[in-house]
This record gives sequence, C-alpha cells and structure tokens, in this order.
Amino acid sequence: MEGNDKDTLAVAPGASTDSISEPSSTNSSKESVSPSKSICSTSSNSSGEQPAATEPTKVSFESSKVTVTEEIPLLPGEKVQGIDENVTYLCPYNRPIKGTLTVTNYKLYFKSVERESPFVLDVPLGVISKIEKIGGATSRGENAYGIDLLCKDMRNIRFAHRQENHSRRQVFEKIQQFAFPITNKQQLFAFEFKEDYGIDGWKVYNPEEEYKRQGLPPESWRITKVNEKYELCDTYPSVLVVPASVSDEDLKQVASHRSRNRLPVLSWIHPESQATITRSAQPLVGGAPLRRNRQDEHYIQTIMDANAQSHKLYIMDARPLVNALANMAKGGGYEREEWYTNAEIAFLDIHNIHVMKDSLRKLREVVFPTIDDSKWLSNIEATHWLDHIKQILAGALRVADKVESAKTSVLVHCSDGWDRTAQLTSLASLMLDPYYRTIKGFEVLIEKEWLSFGHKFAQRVGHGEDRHSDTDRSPVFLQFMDCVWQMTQQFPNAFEFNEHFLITIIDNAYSCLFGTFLCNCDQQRTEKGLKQKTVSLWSFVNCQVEEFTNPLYAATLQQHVLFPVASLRRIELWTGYYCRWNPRMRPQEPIHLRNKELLILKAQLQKKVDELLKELENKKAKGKLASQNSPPRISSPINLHNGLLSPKNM
Amino acid sequence: MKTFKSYVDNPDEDENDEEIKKRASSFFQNDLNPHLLPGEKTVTEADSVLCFVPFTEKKQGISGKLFITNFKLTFLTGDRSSYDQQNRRQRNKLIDDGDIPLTNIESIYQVVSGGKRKKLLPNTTVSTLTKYLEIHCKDFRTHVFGFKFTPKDQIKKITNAVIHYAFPSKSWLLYAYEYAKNLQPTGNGTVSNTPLYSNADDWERELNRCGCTKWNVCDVNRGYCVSQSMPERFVLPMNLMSYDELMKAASQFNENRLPAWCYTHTNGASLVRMAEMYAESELADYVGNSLSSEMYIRTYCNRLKTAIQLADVNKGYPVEMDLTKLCPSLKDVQASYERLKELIFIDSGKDFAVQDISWFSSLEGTKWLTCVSQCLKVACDAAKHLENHTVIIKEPDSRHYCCLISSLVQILLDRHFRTRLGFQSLIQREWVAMGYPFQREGCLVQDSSKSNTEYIPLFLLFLDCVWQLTQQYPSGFAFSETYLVTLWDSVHMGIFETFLFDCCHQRSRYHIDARWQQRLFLPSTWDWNVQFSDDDQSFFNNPLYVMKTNPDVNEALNKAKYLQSSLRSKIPTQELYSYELQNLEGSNLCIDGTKSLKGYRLTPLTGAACMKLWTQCYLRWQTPAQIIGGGNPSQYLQQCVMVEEILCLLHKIEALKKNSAKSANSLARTRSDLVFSMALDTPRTTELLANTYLSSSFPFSSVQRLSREEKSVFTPISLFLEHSTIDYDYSNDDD
Repeated sequence: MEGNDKDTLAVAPGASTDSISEPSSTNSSKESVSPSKSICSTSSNSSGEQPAATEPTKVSFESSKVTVTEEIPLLPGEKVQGIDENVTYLCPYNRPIKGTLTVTNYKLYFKSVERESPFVLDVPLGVISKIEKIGGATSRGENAYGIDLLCKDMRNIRFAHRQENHSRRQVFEKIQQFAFPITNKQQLFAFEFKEDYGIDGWKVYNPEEEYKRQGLPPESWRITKVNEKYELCDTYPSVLVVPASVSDEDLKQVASHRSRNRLPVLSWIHPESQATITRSAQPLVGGAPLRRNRQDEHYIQTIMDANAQSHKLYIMDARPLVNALANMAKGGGYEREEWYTNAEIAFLDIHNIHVMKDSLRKLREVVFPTIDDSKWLSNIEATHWLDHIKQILAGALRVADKVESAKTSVLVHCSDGWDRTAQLTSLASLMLDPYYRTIKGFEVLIEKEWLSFGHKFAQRVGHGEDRHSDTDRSPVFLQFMDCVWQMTQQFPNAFEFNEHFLITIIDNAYSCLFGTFLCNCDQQRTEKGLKQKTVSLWSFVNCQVEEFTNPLYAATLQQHVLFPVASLRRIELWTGYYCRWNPRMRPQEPIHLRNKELLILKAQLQKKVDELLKELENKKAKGKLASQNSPPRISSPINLHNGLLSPKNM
Repeated sequence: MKTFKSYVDNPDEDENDEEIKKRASSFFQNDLNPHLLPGEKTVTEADSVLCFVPFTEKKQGISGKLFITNFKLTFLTGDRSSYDQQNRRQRNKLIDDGDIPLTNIESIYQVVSGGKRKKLLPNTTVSTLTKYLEIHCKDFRTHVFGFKFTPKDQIKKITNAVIHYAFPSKSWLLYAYEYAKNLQPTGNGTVSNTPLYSNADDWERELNRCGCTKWNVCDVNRGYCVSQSMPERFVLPMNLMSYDELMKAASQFNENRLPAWCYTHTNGASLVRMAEMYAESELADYVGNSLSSEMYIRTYCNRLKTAIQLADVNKGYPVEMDLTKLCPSLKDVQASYERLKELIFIDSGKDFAVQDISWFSSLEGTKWLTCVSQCLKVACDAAKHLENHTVIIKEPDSRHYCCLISSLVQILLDRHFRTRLGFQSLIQREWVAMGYPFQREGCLVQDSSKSNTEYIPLFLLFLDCVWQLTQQYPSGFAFSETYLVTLWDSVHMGIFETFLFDCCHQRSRYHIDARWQQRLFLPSTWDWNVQFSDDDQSFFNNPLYVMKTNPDVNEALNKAKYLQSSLRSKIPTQELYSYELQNLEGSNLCIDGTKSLKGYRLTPLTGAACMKLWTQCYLRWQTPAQIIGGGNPSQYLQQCVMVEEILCLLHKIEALKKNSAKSANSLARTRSDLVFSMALDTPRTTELLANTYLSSSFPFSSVQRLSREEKSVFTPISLFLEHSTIDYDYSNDDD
C-alpha cells in the first residue's frame, strides 16, 4: 500500500516506487479528483492523474523538456552513470510506456512524460536480485527485446529496448555493475551516501542501557565483557548477559559445547517474576558416541535457578524433531532430558531457511503480477507461507506463555541460533514487553535480537552480490516482520508504529542505502567501521517519527501481554506488502488515513485551545489586576482515578 | 463417576456477593422460573440439564434447568458462579444470554449414547434417549445441552417439544401471534421514524427526495386485487394507463407483479425492478388461446415499457439486466451457505485445529465469498449503467435478487442509504414492502404439505455485501459492523413484523385476528428501543462517519490538513499515501448543498480476492479464534475516544472564542451518539465499562476461560477513557 510515491528519493530512498498512472482503476467517476486532494498530497506529483502542481519549478522543467539529468532527484553521493532515452517500461498492469531510463550508482529511474501526468518508476538497485536479457537482436514482436529485473521485493521489472545497435547493452552493464558492487569488487552505496538527518540513529541501541531498562537483578545476572574482542564467539555481540555465578572461564567451557560457540545468554527478563528468555545455538551432542558437557548442564541449571518462581526450565527447540535428530549426524543435536534435569524440551516444528525460501518463491508466483481471483485462497494455502507464519507465531506464543503464565524460564535455540531463534525471541519479547511496541523500542529489538546476535543479513539478503540462487538466501527477517504485522492487525492500538514503518524497514534491508543491515555480525560491522562510514536507517526514521506513527496507538491501554491468535482464521496475507504493486489490490479508502486525520486534527485543535487560553490569560493579566481574577475555569477533565470511572482490578 | 465441574473453579472469597445476587435476581424471577413475555407460556421443562461451555470438549459447563416456552428455549441455573462474569456487553431487553428464541433455531442434532449423531427433522418424533442436544442457531451460535442427570421421561418430552415448537407447521402457530394478542397496544403503531411504505406518503416522500417528477404513486393494487405479493401502493410512470389496462398488463407478469420503481438518479435515469413476463405459449394458455387478446395485452406491456423509457429524462433505451443469469443461482447460494455453516458450527478444539490446516481452501470451497463478490459486481455494473441509462433489473418473480441488487445499487449511488435511517427505509422498501418471502426463505414455518424448503440466506448475503462496503469505505457509512450483525440477529427474534412475513398481504391478514375482531400489532425491528438501551445502541454508530459529517469537524479537518501540508512542504518529506488519497470517495468536501444529498458513487473492489470473511458475524462464538484484548472492536473504541476528544476540543475553542470564562461553561456541548458520549450518564454504564473486557467478539460473546493469571491481559473498556481528554461537562454547572 505504502510507498507508491515518486518523491521518495529525497528522504525515503529505500522505498522504491512504481506509480501506476492508470486512472485509478476503481474510481472512474469525474468526481475522483477534487481540489481538496491536493491539500493532503503535499509534495506529491506522483501517481496517476494528480498533476504536479505543488512545485511550480518542477512543472516548468517538465513543460520545457530540459535535459533529463536536471530532473532526476539525486541523493548526496549519488551520480548518474548512464542514460537511455528510448526505453519502454512494460508495466504488468498497464500499457507499455515509453520514456527515459537513467541508472545511477544507487538507483534506476525511469521517467515518461508521454501521458498527461508524468510517470516515474524509481527502484534502488539494491533490490535487484537478478538481471536477465530477454529476446535477442532477431526476436520478433513488439517489446520482445530488453531486460528483465527480478527483485527481492516480490516484483519483476521489465524494460524493452530498440533492437538496433545493441541498445540495451549499456543499461544492462551499468545495472550489472552497480546493482552488484560486491561481485564487482566495489563498495556498497551506503559508504558513499552522505546525508545528515540531524539525529544519530547509531545511538539508538546501547546494550548496557537496554539491559538496565529490563532491570537485571545483580544477584542473579551480570553483564560480561568477555566477548569484547569477539574472542569467545565471533557472531555474538561484545556485551553479553550471563548468570552472575558463572565465571568467564566457565563460559568458555560452555561455549565449546554449543554450535559456533553460541552459548546460552540472556535475551529478556520478566520484570516481576524474573523468568527469562535465553538464546543459544544447538548443543554439540553428535551421533555415536554422544558427547556430554557437565559445564553446559550446570550452566542450564544456573539459568533455571536464577528464577525462584519455578523449578523447571523449558528448552524450546525451534526445529521439527526430525531436523534436530538429523543434526546429530553433523555433530549437533538437542539437550537430552536425562542429562538436563528439570528441563523439558519441546520442538516447535518451524522449518529451515530452504523451506521458507521455497515457500516465498511460490507465494511470489501467486501474488505477482496478477492474481487469480477464483483460486486466490487455495493458491495462497498451497504456498504454505501463512502456515509458516502461524507456526512461528504459535512458537513465540508458547515461549511467551511459559514465561508469563507459568513464570518459567525458557531457553530458545535452533541449529545455529541466528534465524528461527531470532524470530522466536524477538516475537516473544514483543508479546511480553510493551516497550518493544514503541518505535524506539522496536528499533532496539531489531538491533538487539537480530543485528547484534548475528542474523546474517548480508548472506540472507545477498547485499550487492550477483548470486540469485545462493542457497544461503532466505526471507527469515521478512517472516518476522510479517508476524509483527499480523500482531498489529490483531491488536490495532497496541503498537506505536504503523504498517509504513514495517515496510520501510524491509525495503531498506535490501536497499543498501543505510549501514544498518549490512554485514553478518557485530564483529564485521566494527571492522568495516559502519558506524563511522555509513548512515543508520534509524536516523532517517527518527527524524520524522510522525510518518511512522500509528494514530490509534493507545500507550496506556495496552501495557499488558499480548497473546495473538495463531489460527489461520485470524492470520491473513499481508497484501499491503506482497501485493503492493498491484493497483487492484489497494484499499478504496484506507482506514489508516482516516485514523491519521483524527490524530492530526486532535493535535491541532489542542494547539489552538492552548493558544486561546494563553491569549485569554494575557488579556486578563493586562486587563486589570485589581479584580484579582483567577484564570477562567475551562471545564476540567474528570479525574479518572477518583471519579466514577476508576476501573476495578487495575 | 466423574463429577461435573463448574467452570469457575474457585468461587471462594467473593467481595461481590451482593452484586451477584442482585444481578441474578434481576434477570430471573424467583425459583428458576423463566422470564416470560406477554402471551408466552412454558411448555415443558427438564431438570439437571448440563449446559456446556463451548470448546471445552463437553468437560466444563453449568448445571441447571432447561425450559421450553412457546417463544424460546431457556436455560436457567441456580449456580451463582455463572453470573460471575457478566461481560457480554450487548444486552437484549427481551431475551437473556441463555435464551434461544425458537425462530433463531436453524437445526437440532441429537446425540444418543454410543455417540450416534442425527439431525432432527421437522414434524418427526424421537423415541431414543437423548444424551446431548446440539442446537445450531441462525446467529451462528452453537448450544450443547447434556441430559446425563435428567430424569428419562423428561428427556423424551423435552426433545420432542423442541422439534415441535422450533418448527411450527402453520404460521399462526408462531409465537408472534400470541405475543401480538397479548401486547398492550402502544398508541398508533410504530415509534421509529423509519418509513414503512404502507401508505402513499412514504412513497411520495421518497420520490420527492430523489427529485423524481416523472413517476408517481399508484394504488392499483388496493386490497391486493392485482398482485398478492406486491404492496398496496408502489410507484409507476406518471399518467400511464387506466387501472383496467394496468391490470391486464399485470396479468402478463409472474405473480402479476408489475414493474416497479426503485430509485431515480440525479440525472433522471431510474432503477426499475421487474418480474419475468410469461412466455408466449404460457400466455396463450392464460388468455384462452385468443391471439388477438394476446396481442392486445402485449400492447399494454409495450406501452408500459415505453412509459418507463419516457420517464427517463434522457429518453435513452433502458438497459435490461437479467439477474438470473448474472447472479449466483439460489441453489448455489444455498449450497454455499451449507458449506459455510460446516466451518462455523463447530464446538471442539480438535475440530478447530483440524479445520485450521486447510482453512483457506475450505473457505474458498464454500464459494460464499464468490457469491458476495458476484453480487457486488452486478450491483456495481448496474450503478454504472445508471449514470447514463434507466436500468431494469429482472428475475422470474422479482422477489429475490431484485431486492438484493436494487438495495445495493442505491447504497452505491446515494449516501442517504448509508445512514441508519436511509438504510432501514431501504430494507423496508425493497425487501419488506416489495415482498421478499422472509417467512418462507427463513424456514420459519415448516409446512409438511410442501416439500421441505431449505433456508435461503439471501438477506445474509446482502448484509455481507454491505459489510464488505463498510470495510472498503470505513468512513462511508453511519452505522458500524456491530449494527449489521445485530440486525442479522434481530431477523430471527420472531416477534417483529418486519422479518416475519412473506409479503404485505400476509402481514395485513395476520394483523387482523378474526376471532377477536381486533387489529393486532407487532413491533417493528426498526424500533430498536424495544430491544436495546441507548448505550447498547451507541455501538451502532460509526465514529469516522460522525467525524466526516459533522460540519464543524469537517471544516476544522480541512484546515488541519492544510496546516499540516504547509508545515510539511518545509521539510521535503514524502507524502505516503498520495495514491490512495486520489482513490478516496468524494469524502470530505461534500457536506453542503445537493451534493451532500446524493454523495458520490461508491466503486468498491469486487474481485473475490478482495472479499473478506465477516469474522465478527461468523466467528464471534468460536472461542479459540477470539483475540482477547484486541480485534476490530479495539480500533472502533479508540476511534470513538478520539472523535469524542475532538468534539470536546472544538467545543472548548468555541467557548474560548466567546472570550469569557462564563460562556465557556454555559455552552452546552452537543452529544455525538458515540459510546463515550453517554458513558457517564448512569452508574450502571460506568460499572459495565469497567467490568467489560474487550475481545474481538465484543459486544457479542463474553470472554471465557478466565483464570487469575490471564486477568492481566484483559482490557476493561473504561481504560480507553483513561488519559483521554474527554470532558463530561455537558450541562451548565456554573457556580
């Protein structure tokens, strides 16, 4: 739904756009363009019928057809690399449209003034997964010769070129070069992008502050710097929280028994019961003979003991049991209950990255470019995408439920503890802790559970690499965001952020504009100096939070635990993301707009009231001090705590 | 033997003892006697019946007494713990939560020991001993009763009484008849201001509202002498023909149903509904093989059609739409509804989980959403045609899809029908007056002489279509989805004249009691006060619509948007939703003049992929699907709070502008009809808000599975008001 905007470049370069200039398929009545519209769509010259009336300078550019480069909005650090003035964009929802295609070191920019209102397609190169030539010099048929771009954001983009003189070669080569800088031994654009948003997003997450916020009880948990130089575990952050009684030396022993040294460490602690969520990789049990590690067993016992409320600990293995067993052959496995006394192991049946990748591939075929109305639901079902979403939500629900209702600590792991584990711990945290449902809190959650604990973004997304079929690529993070979206749908006023926030984050996980999602782990990020050399996505987000605010957010209302319903009756396809390129799947009157209006109106009226009150006071003060008038009493809000409404049981 | 467990485990320390007793006694008369309406009599009763809590695999429930009256099935219990959580928000004045009006019963299943389950058919008796009785209701709720501890003679009696009374074989056996006879007449009939279209005035007024000058009200059907299924008055082209000629023309149509006017667009084109004409051969039989008289009558029909054409100021040739071809067949809708019910009427967690695996394909397999999408599409096409041409919609009897499509078209074209009053008048006109056979299609009477008719859920299909529109245009309708669901439930109350009859003729006959020589009176559904209190009715209103239609708010909103946009242009930030803004319905600016009357044509998405399942209606009783503390109601309530806050602020500004402290307090604020506008009126309301927990099924089903730990996740409705800036100084409390 969001991001159909052309002017995104200046500030929201990640949100790539594809404005369909077809008169909105649904509203063909003459009334559809009313003068009031321009009031809302401020800087937009975009999408469809709306003439670019808001910025006079731009209009004059277009009307006099000045050279293309002058029109292209460029980011600081962005340079035009090539222009082809004779390209046809083959929009799957509309007639082919002729225009000019420009390739920069960050994006491709297609513009057509063929129709009444200019058409713009603006795609960050980072989103491209594969570039292919279609047709040859001798191909017959109109628009049979050109290039096809397979994108990570569910769409294909196709351009047709004139068949003479290998006209597509330049464009093809430029895209190839700048879409895959890593393959071409070049730097990602994030290192060239220089923008100052006035806020430093890199400061959003400070692990020590975050653990302090959670309220670590010093008698049972401590912050350790043993991994400061990433020597204990190279894919973990430098700051770890471990049971207070375990020495750094013992930690090394424990780490040796866990895959890639990813030992169990604290993720979240319940402020009252002190039940915890800890995360790790699988234990290195192996096949025959089985390996046992007393330090690891003792360590798990210590985690259990840190929570006085329960004499039990749940180990939630995210994998299906068969996968866990299969891993034993490769040296991995799972905790045996006879060795880990008082621990109960459960398998959450979430499938691995390959299954998920395949599922998304199928989903893509169903949602793009066109959808089959008659088989829509069964087609979605056949992709199993929502089954996986349900499974992940159900798993996180189990974790949250054990912590909240049974006051029992939970250790979560999968194989390496950086994919499914991250999904589960972050979703469970989101259910348990209202802080993570704020914009800042959600940023912290991503920084903490995903980035610092080494979800391999570079590999899973494939930043700047021309290896479309790389088996390490997988939409694990997207799945998490989908689950979050499902929760926002089920609890419309529990989250401070809106859908646009989620989509912006996903888009920029691909765009390579910000440093936030680059690299695979903290160690690499430090080596590359990302904090110094690139801009953080949160700088961009936090300088305009109102864009990302959910107008219905009721902070005081939803301070409790959220238990979403993990049933397909309540899980739906996120059409606002997966079908966003399809104009026929967009809502007629988006409710979030209405809600936003309420919020804006309320804020401005409040301001007005304040102004008037001030005015009144000034007048009074000037008027006469003699009468000693008290300020006017403007019907005061009722006191809910003492008044009639004070709720029971609160 | 396993003991039966009450679902609240610890009825210990109870600070609310008094409260509970009070509640209990206010609902029931003493000694477990059902509360009876006028003319209602207890038929039979059974002791020690178990009423199971849904989705507990018949392991939890309460024990009590089951009664059958001539109006309802009612379960009463002395177990006071069951009053503990009175958090079902919507309270019907006529029935309590455990009551099932007999007309609401859709089907009855008997489970005998050994587990065999059998559907109990009308006009049958059973001799086997019932172990469980499953009652499926038209409001999609399932009730399960167990008779393990019930005396055997009572079991048989009550089982057969249920069959007998739930499926009466004659319409005068319906309880409504007794009710009407015993009801104290309340003055001159209806209290609601919804026109009933039983007199010419209502029709005239609607014609005038449409600015229609070429059609007029005609009483050719006085005394139902032309068509028994049409109302006595309806609208035909002006100065058409003599009554004699009209009657001859009528004879050519199915059930003598003359074409009738539905609506006239601002451009002068009209929507007309028409029954099918008899085929030539049939007609020949009818007029006695006389070719000349056939020709003669044909001429009348042609004149009729010409008149319709001439009544269009554009004089274009009318577009005819054959609804039989365009809409799903009634059989398909019926079959689709049957399949949908299989997904809805479940009572076990196991079934729930199994269904969930293939939920999407099962849902698609019901084809229900396809039916909805198809109807919406036909209506959209018709509405589009109407921009240029008069449209005639026809089907064999013009009593089914004509009702549905004509209503939808008018909703799409005219915002009047998106208000509550307009919507109700529309249903009254196009469905009730024009003779949609509610009694027959609703299976209210199971006449053994006729072949067993299956339930035809066309009205539900209509409400579903309207619901889809409300979802696509969240600020477009004055009423909420709760209103639509409540309306659906009201169809099955069985005591309102609105949805009880097949046509006006039948209704009027019913109203005259031959033996007593008196005119009987049944209330109209539109008189909502009969069923609901003001605060329950406040949930019928849509806050976003209030927002849109309040002129002060509207003006302020436009200013605010302007201000916002001028602020924004300083920072070149993106306008997120520009595309969508263009897609909006004419929305805000049309509050003045003629445009506001007509509004803009809605152009909803009609693809099946854009259709959603109406969860509030269908899934409200499925406990495992309940989102506790969330769901659409939480969005709804938050919008109510915000709109209320905005109205308060506007009021404050108004007062401040008068620039004196005195006037600030003396200006009374107008009410918004939203829930929080009335919240503080009565202590009862306040208490209810504080004790009512929010879930996706609000305000219909209560939150179950209460445990002490889970209490932390419940959201009392009153929390919405905390930290809100609503002030309740309505009245002048100036000192």
